[in-house]
Amino acid sequence: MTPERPTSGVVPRVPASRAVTSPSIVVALAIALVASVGAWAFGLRVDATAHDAYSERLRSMVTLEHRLNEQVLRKYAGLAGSYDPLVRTMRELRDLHRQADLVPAFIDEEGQEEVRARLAESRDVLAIQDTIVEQFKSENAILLNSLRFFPVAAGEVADALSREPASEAQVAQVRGLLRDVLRIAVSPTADALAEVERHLASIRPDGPLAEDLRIVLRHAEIVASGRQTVDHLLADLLQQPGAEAASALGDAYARHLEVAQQRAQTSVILFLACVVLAVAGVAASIFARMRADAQAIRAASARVAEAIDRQNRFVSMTSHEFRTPLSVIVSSADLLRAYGDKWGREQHEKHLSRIERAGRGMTDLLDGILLIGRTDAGHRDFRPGRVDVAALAHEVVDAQRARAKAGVTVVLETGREGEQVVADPRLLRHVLDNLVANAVKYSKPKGVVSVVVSRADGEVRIEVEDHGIGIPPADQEKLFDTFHRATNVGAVQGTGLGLAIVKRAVDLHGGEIAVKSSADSGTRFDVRIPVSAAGTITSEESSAEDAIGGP
Amino acid sequence: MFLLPPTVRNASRLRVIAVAVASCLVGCDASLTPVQPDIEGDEEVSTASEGDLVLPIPLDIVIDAPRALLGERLFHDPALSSDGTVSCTSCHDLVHHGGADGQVRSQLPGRTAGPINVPTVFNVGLNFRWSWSGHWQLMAEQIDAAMSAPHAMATTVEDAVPRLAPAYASDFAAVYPSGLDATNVRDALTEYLRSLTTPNARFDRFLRDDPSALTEAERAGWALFREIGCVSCHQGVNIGGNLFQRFGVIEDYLGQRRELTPADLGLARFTHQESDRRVFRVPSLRNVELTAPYFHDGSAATLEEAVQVMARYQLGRTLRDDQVVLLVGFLRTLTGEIPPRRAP
Repeated sequence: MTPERPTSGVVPRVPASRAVTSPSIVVALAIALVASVGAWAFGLRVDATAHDAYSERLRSMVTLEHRLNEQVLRKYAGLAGSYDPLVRTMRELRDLHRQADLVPAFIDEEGQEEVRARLAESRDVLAIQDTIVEQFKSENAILLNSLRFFPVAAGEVADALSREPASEAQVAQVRGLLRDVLRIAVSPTADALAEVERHLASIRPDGPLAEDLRIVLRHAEIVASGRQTVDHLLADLLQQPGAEAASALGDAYARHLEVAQQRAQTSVILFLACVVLAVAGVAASIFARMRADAQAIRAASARVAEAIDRQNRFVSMTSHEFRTPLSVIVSSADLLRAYGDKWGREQHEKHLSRIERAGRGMTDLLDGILLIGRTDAGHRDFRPGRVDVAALAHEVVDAQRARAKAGVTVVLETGREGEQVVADPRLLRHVLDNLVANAVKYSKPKGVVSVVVSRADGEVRIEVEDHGIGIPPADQEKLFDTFHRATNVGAVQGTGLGLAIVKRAVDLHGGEIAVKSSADSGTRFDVRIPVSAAGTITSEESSAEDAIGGP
Repeated sequence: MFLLPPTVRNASRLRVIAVAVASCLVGCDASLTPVQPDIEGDEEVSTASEGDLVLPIPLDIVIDAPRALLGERLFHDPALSSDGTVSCTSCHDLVHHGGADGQVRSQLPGRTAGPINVPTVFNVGLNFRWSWSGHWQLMAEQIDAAMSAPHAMATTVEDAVPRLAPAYASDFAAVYPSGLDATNVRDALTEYLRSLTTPNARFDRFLRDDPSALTEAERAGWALFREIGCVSCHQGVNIGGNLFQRFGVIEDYLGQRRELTPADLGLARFTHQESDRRVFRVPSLRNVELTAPYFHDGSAATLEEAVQVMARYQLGRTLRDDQVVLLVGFLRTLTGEIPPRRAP
């Protein structure tokens, strides 16, 4: 417990408790935690819009792959309609593959890599499909045109030839060609193809209709080779794993989407945990702060109450302690004035020494109060000089013995007298005086007070032990407070200043005081004061150095 | 959420996740088993009338006007070219030559002659690929090709950006968050080119159930166009422009008449595939009467000539003169409304 200034009426500032962190810092930390974890969790979220758009693209890819095959089959079957839908499908597929390059950010790096790898595979298939589709369109356009025109042209040439003389062989050949080409148109068997090849090799485009015949043969060639080419192209196209590649892409995406969803779920749970943690932290810090404040206020009001109490005690103590000697002085002076001339020398002397003792007691009391007041006001009232501690102890103990109540024995042990140390003699006298006086005062009748003054390395040790009433544990805390007196002192007179003076005197020397006491079995004070040696002198000199007079 | 007991909270969460996973699995299941293609919203697939061999140009093509307007300015601006002397319109005359230049091959002042006949820019947004060979799969690639061609702009889009900055930087910044850069220049040009459709040709009005839009002869021409097989390749909304075809199906046209040039290689010039030799993108026939001369080498000066070459070398037909007249008459009904210039 830090000593308080007895004369100060000001309530000391409540010190902020260092153990409690300010709620505003906790709130800032909580916000930072929630914000950073929130940002992290937000970054991992599965963006529904992006997912919808992306999965829609992947689904469209599969749909368009199927549509592509269907559209090619329609054109293969010779159904009317332009190539625009086919062009549009290919363009949409290319666009979708380009757009699918932007894999949604919530798919992790590994997933992005895999989805892009599947996309690259799908794109490779698309490039092959594109080449096949373009060749198919060109070849199919020619084939269908020749298929339409050839039968008419061949029929017309055959008719025209049949009207020409000596063309029977040619007519038969053209009719045979027409028949076999039509067989190819229906079903391009190897058999029929061989037949057409044979016709083409044998028919000579000569005679009066040579030009027409040449064109018919060219169309027959186109049908024969075009039919095979287009069939191959179609088979090749239908074998391309376009839809499979797009599905594999969709599967890869779905797999990594699930990973992303799980991660997002975990991050949300972590985020919620952080929010709970942050809220709890803020609440706890606010409660802790409130409790600390309440404690501080209670402590402050206790200190105020104590300060008031101390002042009251000071007033009652001083009024009591000063009134008694003052009344002694006044009454002795009155008696001297009234009877002085009648009294003999002995009576005179008795009253004069009563006045002297009362005055000296008041001087001592004032001296103690001033010492405490100055020390508490921050004055280092420390005036070192050379002291023979053993001699001082003897002097003090002798004086106390003289005043001791009947039956109390004071035993003093000291080292050799004449060894001087550097210390404040006035303060040391206060220490010895008060400790020994207390020990005597609170001893039981016929009790023994033991005083041991010894010197060790660089320090003086003063041990004062009695077997008196002791100090209750509750009072030990406030033992060195000014005007505090233990609860068990009973009728024993006292100022409540003695131990406070001792404490300050020891503190001014930079020393330590320890107390060991239990109620009813005695008290032991152990004082250690660091000193430096100052050589050996005579006892006269020692007394002359003493700044304060007798006890 | 805090107030729910943990068990209830977990249960509800798990259920939500289970539903999400299940819906995903259903989606994947659907993709594993062969499903009926979703043909909603694609009527062309499910209907098979002869009408949708050819379709009118849609009247509701969605164009982003601010970007298209920037593209229009760029298209007319010589600042795009290396020396500031030519603009896109130097070869793609939108007013007089149907989006082409009316020459056999482009010949700009101070530049070498181009290797090919300039194709039109009208209705290019309806093509499946770009350039005569059809090598470019994106319009932006075609723009880059024209920009870097020494006989055309002789620069690059990237190099043009600093030249454009004084006049365009703030206007691009107002339209594009990233402001004026090469990507956005290509985008603005692409958006403008997409806007260059020529709707409401008489033939389109005829297709939209207005029989009186065509004369009897023109309708006969349309019938002949289908009958002799032109429509095998020239079909779809752009009447061409949606597939590749070899030039010289029946017999060789190019090699028969002259020395071959690299441009005659067609797609093979880029792919180096033998099968792509003399393979070209089938051009659109829209506004064809405005874009003479014809073919990639400009070797047909008139429509009549072009029709006869196509019939003979692609279809193996010899047309009578009256058939040529009917076909040409039909082709002249494919001229649509030339898109007006939006900004001065």
